[in-house]
Amino acid sequence: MRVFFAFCIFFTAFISGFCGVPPMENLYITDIAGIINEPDRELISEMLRAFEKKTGIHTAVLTVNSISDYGSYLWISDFASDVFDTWGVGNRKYDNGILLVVAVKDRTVNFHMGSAFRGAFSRDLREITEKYMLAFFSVGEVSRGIYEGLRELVRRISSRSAAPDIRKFLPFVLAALLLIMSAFTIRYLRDLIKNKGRLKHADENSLSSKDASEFGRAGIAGF
Amino acid sequence: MNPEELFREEDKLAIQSAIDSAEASAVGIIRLHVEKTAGRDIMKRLRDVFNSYGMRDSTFNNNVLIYVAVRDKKVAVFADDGFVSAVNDTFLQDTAEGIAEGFKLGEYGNAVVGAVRSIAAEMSRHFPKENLKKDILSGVSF
Repeated sequence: MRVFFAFCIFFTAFISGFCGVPPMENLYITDIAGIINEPDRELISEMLRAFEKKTGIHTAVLTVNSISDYGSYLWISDFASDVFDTWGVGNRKYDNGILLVVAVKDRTVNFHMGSAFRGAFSRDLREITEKYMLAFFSVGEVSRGIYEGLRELVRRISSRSAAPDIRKFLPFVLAALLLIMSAFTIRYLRDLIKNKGRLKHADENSLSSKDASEFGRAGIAGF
Repeated sequence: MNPEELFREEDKLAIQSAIDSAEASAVGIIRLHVEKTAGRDIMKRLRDVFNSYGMRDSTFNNNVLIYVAVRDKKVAVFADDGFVSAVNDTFLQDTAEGIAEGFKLGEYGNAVVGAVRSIAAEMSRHFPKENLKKDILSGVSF
């Protein structure tokens, strides 16, 4: 009986050791397979941080050697889905996260996107995977492929959900307003100084000299 | 002297007929306006009177106003741009001075009639009635 319990405990530990998903190492990049080189890591982190700040979409990258290290997964999509749910990628309320899983030994790639996207980018994802990622993967540049693929995805999502953010332009608008106002103020002050405070008088003069109602001519004589 | 007392009845008739014959031969309007004073700015007053007679924006912009301010002892001949550019540079001044000379002699009616005649002469020379017909007809092509 004791042996059975011990076996059970050992077995569960064994199973759970292999089952379950790898822990999240970093908000953006969890490079278990160790294939992302340092420059690319910087680039990707920076890009994804900026992307999240701009759109509120959290994107995470996970590289593993093989999905079979984490249980009896047949499909990478199932694995990605489990990782996605366990990690809680994206905003829980909107479910708008994106997870990229690269399994190096399996030579497979999968994007898992939150339900907020409703499959809107499925065609893009296939295209990005084939044209941008696998092209680099096939020549051994996995790190570069991940970066290029993510960059393209970020670009496409940004351009499609490009609702111009007023907060981004607010400084420019304010600056322009300030500029116009100061221009008017300067003109006003200049006129004021030039005419020694007789602004109204100056206006009357400048108006009458350009008035369209000035027409005709007269000969005038006294008697 | 009041503006009403400036011209006798026969003077008014003579001026009226002079203006009538001028307007019969030329495209343009001539008006005589007599009042007490022109105020501070006589040019502004002239334009206002000109406008009040509806003489502005005519076909050739060539209408002419003869103006007398009795208390100011001033006489003016005011013409729109079309007339000004058609006639001699000194014409308006000469005509105004001509009227003033007559007024000094007390020849109020004759002075104005003379001015109307010389204006009419210029008007019918530069803006004869046929011109208008030609202008209107030239717009129709068939």
